[in-house]
Amino acid sequence: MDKLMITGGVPLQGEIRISGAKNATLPILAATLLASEPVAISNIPHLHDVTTTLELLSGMGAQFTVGERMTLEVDTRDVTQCYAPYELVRTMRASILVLGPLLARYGEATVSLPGGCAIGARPVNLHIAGMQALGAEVQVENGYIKAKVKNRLQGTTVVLETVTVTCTENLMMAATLAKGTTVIKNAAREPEVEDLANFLNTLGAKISGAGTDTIVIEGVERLSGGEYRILPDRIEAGTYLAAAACTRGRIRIKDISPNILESVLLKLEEAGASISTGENWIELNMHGNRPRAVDVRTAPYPAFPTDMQAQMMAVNIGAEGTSTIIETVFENRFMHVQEMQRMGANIKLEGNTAICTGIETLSGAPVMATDLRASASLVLAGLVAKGDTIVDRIYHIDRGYECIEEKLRQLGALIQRISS
Amino acid sequence: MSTFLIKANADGSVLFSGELVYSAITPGLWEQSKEILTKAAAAIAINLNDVTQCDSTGVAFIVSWVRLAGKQNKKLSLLNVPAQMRTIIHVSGLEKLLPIL
Repeated sequence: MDKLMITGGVPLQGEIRISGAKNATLPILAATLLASEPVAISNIPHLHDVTTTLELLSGMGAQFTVGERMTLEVDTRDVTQCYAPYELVRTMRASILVLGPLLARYGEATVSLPGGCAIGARPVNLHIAGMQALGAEVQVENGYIKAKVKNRLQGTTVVLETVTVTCTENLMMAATLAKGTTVIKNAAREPEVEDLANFLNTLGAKISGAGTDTIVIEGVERLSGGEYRILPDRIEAGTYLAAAACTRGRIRIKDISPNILESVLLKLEEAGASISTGENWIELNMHGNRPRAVDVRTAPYPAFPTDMQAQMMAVNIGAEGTSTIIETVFENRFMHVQEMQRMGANIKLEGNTAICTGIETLSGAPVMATDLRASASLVLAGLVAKGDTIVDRIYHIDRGYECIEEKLRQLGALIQRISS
Repeated sequence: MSTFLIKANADGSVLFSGELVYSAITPGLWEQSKEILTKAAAAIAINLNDVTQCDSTGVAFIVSWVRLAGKQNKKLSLLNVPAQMRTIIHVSGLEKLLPIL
């Protein structure tokens, strides 16, 4: 299992480009199952979860061609197996995103239940109920969701009990080829949901309202092919900006639209960063100063994202002052706290609130990654700590950050991957 | 492409009109926003009465106005916030951040 070794204390400086968003790429790849012609997708990040998705689609019969500038052409015309096996789904919960497209296009789907999740319960019952509302027969047997529909799915109104990104996306994809109009109420509003809707509309879907709590989908009989570019990864962007803030550095990130991470920029400015933005870049400069502690409350987009909570904690534990971080989205998303405490961080947990009192110097230590964003936060803590930090179980990081050690090295960080 | 316009009035108020959605927020709109904010008085009232549609990215755009105005020590206020925008602001818990009158 690979590890990352980081020698802290170097202020990050330089420029890097931001990759395509993982959280947009996975649903868009799943959505290629809906297309009747080949689809060319660009700005796909090189991530473990993307490889898993391609493996999943390949097992169904999809074919891939890598074109110029790393554009991926996906051809799903020869799909014959409407099956997502446990071996793949257990490594990536987002695999459930094939449920809706398979049902809509092929009338059947057998998808393994995803199993447990480290950051809290993310039940699939909403996906199942949604597909049933669209007219599918769904049974759960032997750890698999088995769904089928005679003829086409039927458009209807679905009110989601809770706001969930994946379920919104699954239903939106399923409804694209349904007969009639589907209305999804209490839908997720994240930019990645809008990106999926834009992608589907490029192929001929009729979706409106994405980005609001009510999405309307007029079903069409078929989707054609097309070309699409994935939007930039706002969480990756936020993570590097937080890394620069932690280390009192100055960096510029490019190929990113500032508008999609405004709430993060606001907090970083509150922490003392000077931020300037252009058409497709953001620059952060700490002027060599220690960050100030900032209070954070996670909430759905466009508020501060739960996927940036751990990284902001990495800023706060070395900051001047005391801060509170309230996690309102997932119930078990403070697993990085114990590891940060091993590095000397002063954090108290009270339910869904973490109270951080910043200390001047963290100390390097061996720590263990527990989930994707927690892992990133430990890397950030390692960048600012005195001495060496070894982050174990970094396969979590490889799921969501393209070339993290190369990008950090480009910014001057002392970081290397240790293969074992 | 959605139609969204920003107009700076002589009295210091700013009028947003049209569809404040993902596809409307172009680099050109950003540049225009910065220019208007730089030229604006210390207190800027944004009238949202003519915004016909708004999504979460549209609200993020307004957050960016608040951030940019703050950097220039200018005070922003939002007038006639449409219901759809209010819903997004409420669900995201941004009421305290956004100066709604």
